[in-house]
Amino acid sequence: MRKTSQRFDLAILGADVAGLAAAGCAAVEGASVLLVKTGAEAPLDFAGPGIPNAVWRLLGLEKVTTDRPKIAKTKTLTPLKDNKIKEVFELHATRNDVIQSLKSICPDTAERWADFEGELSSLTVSPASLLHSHQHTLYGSTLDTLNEYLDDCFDHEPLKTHLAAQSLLALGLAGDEPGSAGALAALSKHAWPTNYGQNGHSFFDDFEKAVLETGVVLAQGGVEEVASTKPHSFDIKLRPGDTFTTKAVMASGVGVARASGFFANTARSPLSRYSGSSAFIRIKFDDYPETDILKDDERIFILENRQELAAARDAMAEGRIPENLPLTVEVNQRTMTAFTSFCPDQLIDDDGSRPWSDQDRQALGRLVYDRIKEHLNIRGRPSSIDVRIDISPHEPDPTNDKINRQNENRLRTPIDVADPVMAAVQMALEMTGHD
Amino acid sequence: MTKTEIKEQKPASTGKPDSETVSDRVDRPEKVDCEPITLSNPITPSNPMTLAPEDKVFPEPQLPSAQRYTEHFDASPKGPKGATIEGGIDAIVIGASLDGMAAAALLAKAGLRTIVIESGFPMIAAEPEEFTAQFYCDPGDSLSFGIDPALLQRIDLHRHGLRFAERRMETTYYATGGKRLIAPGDLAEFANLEGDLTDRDRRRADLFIEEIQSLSQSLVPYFETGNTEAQATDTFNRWALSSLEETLSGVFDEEVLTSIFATEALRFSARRPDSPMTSLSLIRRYSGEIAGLQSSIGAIDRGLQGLSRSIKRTLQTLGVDYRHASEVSRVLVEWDRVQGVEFTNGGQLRAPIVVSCFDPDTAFLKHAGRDHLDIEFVRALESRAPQYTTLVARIAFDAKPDGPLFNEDYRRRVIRLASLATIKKCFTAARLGDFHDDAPAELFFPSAFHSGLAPTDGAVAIMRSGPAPLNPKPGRVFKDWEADAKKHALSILTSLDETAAQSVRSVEVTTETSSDVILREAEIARFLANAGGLKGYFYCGSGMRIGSPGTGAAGRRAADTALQYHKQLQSVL
Repeated sequence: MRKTSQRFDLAILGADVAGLAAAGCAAVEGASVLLVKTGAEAPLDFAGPGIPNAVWRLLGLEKVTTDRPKIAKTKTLTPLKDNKIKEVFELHATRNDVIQSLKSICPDTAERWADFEGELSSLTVSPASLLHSHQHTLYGSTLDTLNEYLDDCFDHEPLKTHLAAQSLLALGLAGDEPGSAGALAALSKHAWPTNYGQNGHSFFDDFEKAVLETGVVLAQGGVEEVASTKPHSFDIKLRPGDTFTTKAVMASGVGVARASGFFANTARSPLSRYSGSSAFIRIKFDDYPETDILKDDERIFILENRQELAAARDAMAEGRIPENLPLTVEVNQRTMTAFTSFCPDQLIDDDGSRPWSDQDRQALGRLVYDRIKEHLNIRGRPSSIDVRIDISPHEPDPTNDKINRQNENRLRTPIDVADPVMAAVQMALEMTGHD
Repeated sequence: MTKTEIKEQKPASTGKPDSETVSDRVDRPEKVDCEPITLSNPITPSNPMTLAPEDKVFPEPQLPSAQRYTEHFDASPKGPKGATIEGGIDAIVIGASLDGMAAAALLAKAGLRTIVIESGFPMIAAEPEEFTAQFYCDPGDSLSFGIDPALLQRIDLHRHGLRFAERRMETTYYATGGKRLIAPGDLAEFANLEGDLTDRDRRRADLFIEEIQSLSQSLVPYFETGNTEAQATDTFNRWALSSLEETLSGVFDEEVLTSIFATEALRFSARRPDSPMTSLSLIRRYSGEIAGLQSSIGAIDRGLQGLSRSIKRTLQTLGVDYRHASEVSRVLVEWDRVQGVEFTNGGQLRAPIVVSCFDPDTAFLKHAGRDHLDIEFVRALESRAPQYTTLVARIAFDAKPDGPLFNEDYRRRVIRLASLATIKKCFTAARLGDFHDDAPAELFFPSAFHSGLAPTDGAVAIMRSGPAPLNPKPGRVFKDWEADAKKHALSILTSLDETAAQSVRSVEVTTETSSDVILREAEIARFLANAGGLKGYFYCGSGMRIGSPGTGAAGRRAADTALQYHKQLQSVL
């Protein structure tokens, strides 16, 4: 057990990409920052959120790598007319590749891509800007639904399905929610998924190292309590017994806050959802899972059309696992990772509602594997399937009411936006008095 | 038709119209005579203008019937040898909706020579429609959730015959499991709600309504002028982007109260309760004002027909020229300024100000024309297919059976409640083309307030239920949708009162556009108010609706903006 005499300007709970970036930027600006690796961070098996240009420059990441390790392609499988044969629709990381690819599939769309891409940065908005100055872009408004926005921009349905998948699958939205057009910012260049670790090299380790070189202090352990002893002073008690004092405290994201047992105190955004859980499914194989469709350095979305998103959202709201569960899938050597945001908080059947049990998790794991196998035509048997369910960060945790009440209004979290790294950085700089 | 001279109409504020003749001579049909109205009850501080007395102080409006207009009156300018041009007008209002006529009244009151052109736009509730033999109904919403108080103050419709048959209408809520609660007409008394509720919940409901009402008031400058500073109250920041589900979560112990607020907020909504920004939908129901009381619900005497007549009387008093003309073919635009309107017969009315209350597509794409509008504006106007609609059923009853609907709730608004979970299921069903059996519904009996809508023993009801499917299920046809909708309406009726359905003579079904979230409505309204960069063109049609429908506020806002423009023109001249 230790108690440091140092009083930090800011403590950030969650040493994920957003937490690291936020801590690093605040430290570069002169703040003393404590970063807590809580163990509640979302798994980062392969790809994660992109790092914005401003953060890249501020942290001097060019010293770590000369090239941004973005994943090369995102893909969806588009059903053809007979609904049996599926065509792969691809979107590349670089504009030239995208335009070349679109030219061969839908030439009209290729002409519009540059305009559309130019619009994406203006879709990255904060709730404040949404409320105080609604932004109009060439194609519509940031209060539009994503579906309306895409329908205004493009005619090619497979492209629209792909863009909806890439923007919405992480958020658990269906695209018919007002303001969901803002999720399209996830397609912008700086938010493009980054490859944090592949083939033995870990960009995440390099990134962490670069951040720690800025003077950020890293602590490890679950958060026991955040106590406010006097104004602008918080004691953070970690599970090993260490206690740190800080002037301000934030979490890197609502997911981390919630998984640490805190009630997330965050401003709402049109991209927030109130209920619904996320599931990480890790499928391990004895050998490299052979599939012709998905390769390392790629991400595939299992979503056949945009209607499936609405159906999945509706099922989730009614406490059911969607029949056609939308999935994001990646493969890294012998491990395949699937992610979905369309799981209910509680499962509801004729006997009433119940929390997720081990059997339910197993059943979800099997369902996901079967769906992946069917779509990606995988050859090879899995050796294990692990399922982790993160229930909605906005729901109070009934099993941890004491901590919820105790810490309510004490832990600020960045807003839900399509660019979580920038949101965390902005909040950290604001809390340490920098713009 | 006889050839007559156009008399320049001076605004009423300057006295009676004089006989000065303007230079343009046109063919004009016989002018419809309108009785001058004498105010026998002058406005004084001791005689406030807010309400007309119950007894008949004012004469009944001596207006020609709408049929006379239709039969004899086409006042679009034309001549025997071709189209002619009529000028000497300051402002033209196209369309005779409540907002259009309100705009005309305010323009005329400010001294502008104003003409209202009905021109293919159905005048609001000219006559009740006979939807089945001997049964009549207003074409619009007979229930009033508020008339813009600023408008009432400025043109004082009460002085011109606007009366309420009911100003503080109670609401009966039917919950699942047979629970029945009666909410008072004055929501300040909501804590006294008749029904089985805890004191804690009653207090919370009171506070919750107070919070909504105060939020509505704080948002007025935002909706009126787009003043972004005015809105930043704590409640607004907390509510603006939240879903209704989130806002209502944990507020009440009794689910029935959550259902009341959810059902009221999502009345005619096209957005699910778990969608962001749906919290503010609560102000749609609670922001209106009837006879000085916020959140009250009223029934206008003689329904929309009564409202229409009082506005027309106001227009007459103010010297507004009201014409039933040929269809407007286009709005005349020279450079980036409006110069009047042209009719399908080739005639033109020239004026520097044109106010339109048609739907956005007609007002801008058809009348103004794409070529005169900003490209972005046109793009934004491109129609977007809605996903849901609101079912409106007009029901004719041969008799009033001996059930609760006719014995206890006949002069009340009746709501069949649905829980948040059920409402979400209704949206799912509607998306898939189905009516959900437990969909929320609102029922109102116009015949309880206005005689002559039904035979002596009969009754007329209007039912609204939503979300309803916009289209039939894939593979089915519209006839199936209609049959399903009628069946759905009858099943709702039976769930409220088993005896009522047996007396139904007929059910007619139609749909109403469902509302978007308030922030988007406000955004669209501000966008349309710009009129795509067209100077002199002002819009107060359906796209300007924010919050409570049919208040006339859009017309007032359009008139105010037009008056500012008029002032600018005058200063240049």
